[in-house]
Amino acid sequence: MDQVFAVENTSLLRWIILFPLMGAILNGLILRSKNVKLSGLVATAASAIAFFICLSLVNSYGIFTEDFGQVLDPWFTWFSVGRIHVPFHLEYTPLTGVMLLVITGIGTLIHIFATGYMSEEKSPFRFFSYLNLFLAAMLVLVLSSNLVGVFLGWEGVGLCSYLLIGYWYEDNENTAAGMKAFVTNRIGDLGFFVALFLLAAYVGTFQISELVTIFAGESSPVEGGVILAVLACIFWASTGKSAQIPLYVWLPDAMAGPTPVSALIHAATMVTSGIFVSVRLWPLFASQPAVLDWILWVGMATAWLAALIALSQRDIKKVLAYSTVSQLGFMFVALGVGAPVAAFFHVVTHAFFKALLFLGAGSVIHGMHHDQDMFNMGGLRNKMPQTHATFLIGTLAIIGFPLTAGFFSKDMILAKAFEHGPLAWGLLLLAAVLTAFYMLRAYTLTFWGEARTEHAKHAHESSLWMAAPLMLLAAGALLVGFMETPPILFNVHGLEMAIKASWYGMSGEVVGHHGRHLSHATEWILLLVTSAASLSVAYFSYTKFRDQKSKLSASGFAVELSQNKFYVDEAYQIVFLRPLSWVAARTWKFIDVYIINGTLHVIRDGMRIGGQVLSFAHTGNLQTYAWYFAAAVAIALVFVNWVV
Amino acid sequence: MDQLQFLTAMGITIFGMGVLGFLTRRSGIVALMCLELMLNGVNLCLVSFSHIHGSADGSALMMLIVLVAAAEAALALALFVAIFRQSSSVELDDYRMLKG
Repeated sequence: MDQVFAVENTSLLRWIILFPLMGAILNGLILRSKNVKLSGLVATAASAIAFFICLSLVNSYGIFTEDFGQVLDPWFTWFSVGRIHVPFHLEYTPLTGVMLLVITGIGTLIHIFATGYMSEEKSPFRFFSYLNLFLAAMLVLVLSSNLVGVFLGWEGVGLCSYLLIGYWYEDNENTAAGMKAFVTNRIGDLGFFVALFLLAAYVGTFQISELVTIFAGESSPVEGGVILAVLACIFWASTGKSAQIPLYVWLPDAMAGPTPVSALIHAATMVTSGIFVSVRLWPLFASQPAVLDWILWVGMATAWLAALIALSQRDIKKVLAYSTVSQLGFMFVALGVGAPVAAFFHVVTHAFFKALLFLGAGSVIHGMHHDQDMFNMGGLRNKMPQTHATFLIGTLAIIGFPLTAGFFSKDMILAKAFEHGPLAWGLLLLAAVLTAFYMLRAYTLTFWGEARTEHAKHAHESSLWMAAPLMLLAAGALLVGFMETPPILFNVHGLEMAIKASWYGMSGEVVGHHGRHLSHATEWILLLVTSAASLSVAYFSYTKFRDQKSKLSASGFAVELSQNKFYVDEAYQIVFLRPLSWVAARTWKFIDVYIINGTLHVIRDGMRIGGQVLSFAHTGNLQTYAWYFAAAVAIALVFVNWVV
Repeated sequence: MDQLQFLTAMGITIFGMGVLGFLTRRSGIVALMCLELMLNGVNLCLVSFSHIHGSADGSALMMLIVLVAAAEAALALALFVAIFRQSSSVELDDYRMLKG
């Protein structure tokens, strides 16, 4: 615990943030070019340079390493008030390194894709400027060595998310979705804010390294209740940013934004920041098992609810959006069962295959002339062969087809859930099976069967700008799983080493955790059960939707519920929004109109009436004033002579 | 009643006549003359009190005041001539434009 780490200083880290930031400024403020190629090139270059800096960092400091000190970039002191000292320092840990590579690597690919996708835009510089600004904010979130800096990035990505969802601001629906995302995120961010105030009041430091090494565990110098409250608040913030019950409702609506945005922000990076922060602070979480139980069941409920909604959606992006919410639920379940490695592993693999799926969907939408309804598609596999092949790989990865990326991460989560208890495992397995069903439904409806509309008949393959990133991401979706494999298959533990090396020597064992260790036979059985269940349901779904000619959607009460998203939005409308607007209207009428306006009116009327009365004395005649003057002098004389 | 008392009483009387005249007469010219009366009453008192103190300062100051008063009277009369050319009246009652 008192272990002193070798601290190595470098000024390289700041450039990872500065390049995207400069790209955003160059595009948004200086060039303002309407040429999509130029804007795209600037933004892509900024992102690519950041990626190469990350690569060189990883190369020089290592990533899959057990023995790790601290790499700091002491940039400047942000502010210092009383005993609260907040430096703006950046920090590299192996965990950060993985996240950096994911953000800048996938980010660069998505920038390239967007250059093709946004080819018909009127103001592409605005789009690329926001996209680079998002990268900069996300990198602040990931790199900051203290929670205040994390909060800065946390808010920054929220802002960029809002700007990008409402990018096509001429459409009311988009701006409404943007505002919904922003407001919902603010409700979550309040939790982060409260956590920061609690830390300021009771703990006195925001440094993650200090929090993790000093305040985790039983020898913590502050009461456990404080840490528990801080963690609960951070979890609350995570439910906002990472779209968990009850604040997930913004994410599906966020699909109103351009598809590359959905891929980068609302699938691969920003929405996983809640999990990233939790893994970063894991030793704290591990010292407070109570909060882990909440995380487990909230994540489980979200995984289920979103999967059930995804079963019946018609919009291809909505299916992917709900599957994102569901997969985020999987990650929180992994945190809840005390397996941060599995959670973060799924973050990484999910980033690849979900970005791939979204970009594939973007390619389809581009080919379909911006029709997103899967019921209008069909038969696209011959017209868009590259998109089809890559989308298939993404689908196989997300349902956990053996040896794809999703297979390893999902299997690890399920194995850890089994260690925690059969109930969690069983429920999670069913959610995984639902994933297989709705993903194959989406895939089959889009690419198989007959073309159901004119657009689908005349769909065309996208340009190389869009196809090349798809192929690279597909390669990632196939291969990144091999950085962490179960003991029975290859037994690689790269990511586990990286994460454990990022806890400043803390073990990260959950307090009072008596997880069973699985035998190899059990692991094999789990693996086979998971794969068999997913694949058979996937095959069932494939055959069901492949040949269907007339009736694509079932009917019935359950389907109605699913199609209408369990009426959660409507329920929020009734339970929260209407009472709030009722209270707001009353407050406005009573306090604003009645009390404040009323007071001002009384003052105004008093002035006016008083003025009218006194104006009688104001005759305009010089002699009247002379009389007043004489009278006043007389009174003063009398006063001076006889009264004083 | 010695001479000083007499002079003081005289000054006060002249001042009081000026005040009464200013408050009651309508004509602007008369009001102006009453103003001069008040000034001279006060001047007389000033000289008397100065004499009581055995100083010549009051007399010197009085000379200055008479001078300024002469200039002021000339200015005020010129103003009244200008006003009269505008509206053919120097009655104070006819000028109530600043009524509230």
